[in-house]
Amino acid sequence: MFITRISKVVSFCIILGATNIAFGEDEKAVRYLLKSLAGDYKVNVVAILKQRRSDDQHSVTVKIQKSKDGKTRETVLSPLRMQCEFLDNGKTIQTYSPDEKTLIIQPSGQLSQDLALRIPLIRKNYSLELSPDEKVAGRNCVVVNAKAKYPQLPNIRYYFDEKTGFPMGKETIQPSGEPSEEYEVLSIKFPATLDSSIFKMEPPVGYETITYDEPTKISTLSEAAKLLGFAPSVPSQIPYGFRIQRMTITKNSQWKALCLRLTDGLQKVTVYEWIPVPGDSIKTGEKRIIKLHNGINIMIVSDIDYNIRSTILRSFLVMADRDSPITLARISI
Amino acid sequence: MSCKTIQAKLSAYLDGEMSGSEMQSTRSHINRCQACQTELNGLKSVQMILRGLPSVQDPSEMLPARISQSIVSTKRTNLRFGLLLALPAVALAVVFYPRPRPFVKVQNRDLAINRQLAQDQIFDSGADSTLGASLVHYTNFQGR
Repeated sequence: MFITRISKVVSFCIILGATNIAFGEDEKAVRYLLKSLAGDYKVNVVAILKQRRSDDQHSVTVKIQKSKDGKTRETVLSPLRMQCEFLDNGKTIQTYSPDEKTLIIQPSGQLSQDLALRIPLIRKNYSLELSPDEKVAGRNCVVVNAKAKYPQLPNIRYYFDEKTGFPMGKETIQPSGEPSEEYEVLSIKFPATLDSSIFKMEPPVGYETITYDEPTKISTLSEAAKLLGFAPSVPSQIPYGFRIQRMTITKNSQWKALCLRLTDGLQKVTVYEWIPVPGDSIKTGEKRIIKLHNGINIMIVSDIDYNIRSTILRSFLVMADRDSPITLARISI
Repeated sequence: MSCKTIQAKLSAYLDGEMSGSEMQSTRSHINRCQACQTELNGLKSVQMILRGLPSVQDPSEMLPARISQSIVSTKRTNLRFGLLLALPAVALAVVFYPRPRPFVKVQNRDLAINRQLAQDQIFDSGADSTLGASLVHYTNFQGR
């Protein structure tokens, strides 16, 4: 954990230097965004927050407990039908779902902390501006506006606690001016200590334990084709400044699929490709679009707007660039 | 609030449709009232049972099964007449439904895909709802 923290600080310094950040407003905005993306708050946090999406009927209230050394426990408080608990110790995430009677154990996700890729992308695809400070849950907050350079993409406004950098709120505003997604901290405490038992979860008696292995990382499409048994479609260029962050293959005996993680720095999209079996009934839904193309199902999963998802999907259908190995080299801006 | 008022609002309570203060007063009533607790547990069980039901089949998909049923019942009363009527219908059904749908197998695969998607989205962004990991996303893939 200590080494992880050191590496975060080192990457923070490297990125600050490498991206040649201008002094002033932009620097302050980037500093808060970086601190928040790295989750490096240096304090224990206990907070209640509310997540809401305009297309969802109900909001979700979550209790978050975060330790100084990066362990997290999240508990969905309401609505009761969405009850579940997440425990992330930096190595594994345990998801306890009382309704499904399952405890799922999987490796921790680290992509959100991939700052070496995300920060240059944020600077390429967004302009960062500060708005006057505001109060959220009684705390003074620095307000950072991330204005998308592509007019079709939403703007995002972040509220960071001035003293700790903890994200106190986030609003996603569509080009139409409509807010599409938001979260807000309702109450927050910074306790000096947190009981270590908070970050332990024993499998409850009678519950099914499911373990998911880390997906297989791959670096070229030819490697993917060998493992999948088909040549996946990947465009040479993805619209709206999105880049491939990582390419993996699911380790699931019932569903072997290619997963492409895309990001524009702040938004994320996952593309899945697989050969369907007769009777598959996975269909286009609220956050996903699926299309059968040359005998392969291509599915786009994301929180972003339907039209953006459709355009990205089209780029996979139209600009299919088969048998042309791509290397996931880091971009330089 | 009376038990009658509370019980009328239990569904809204379960779905988180109440305001914070209303939620608190309802919860404190439930905590000290055995009758309302029982009612709440009953409602939760019903929701869980409903959630566990297979998706409703398209009526047209049930046509071959209905025809088979009609064959069986007709056989009991008038075998010859029944076969006469049912055979063309069965022939039609075979033409339009050449492959029976492996329903249970597909359902398991869909469940596997949805579970994998839910986990994959968590793996993708970590379980940190403060900066974009949408818990709504996770629960939606779990079919909630």
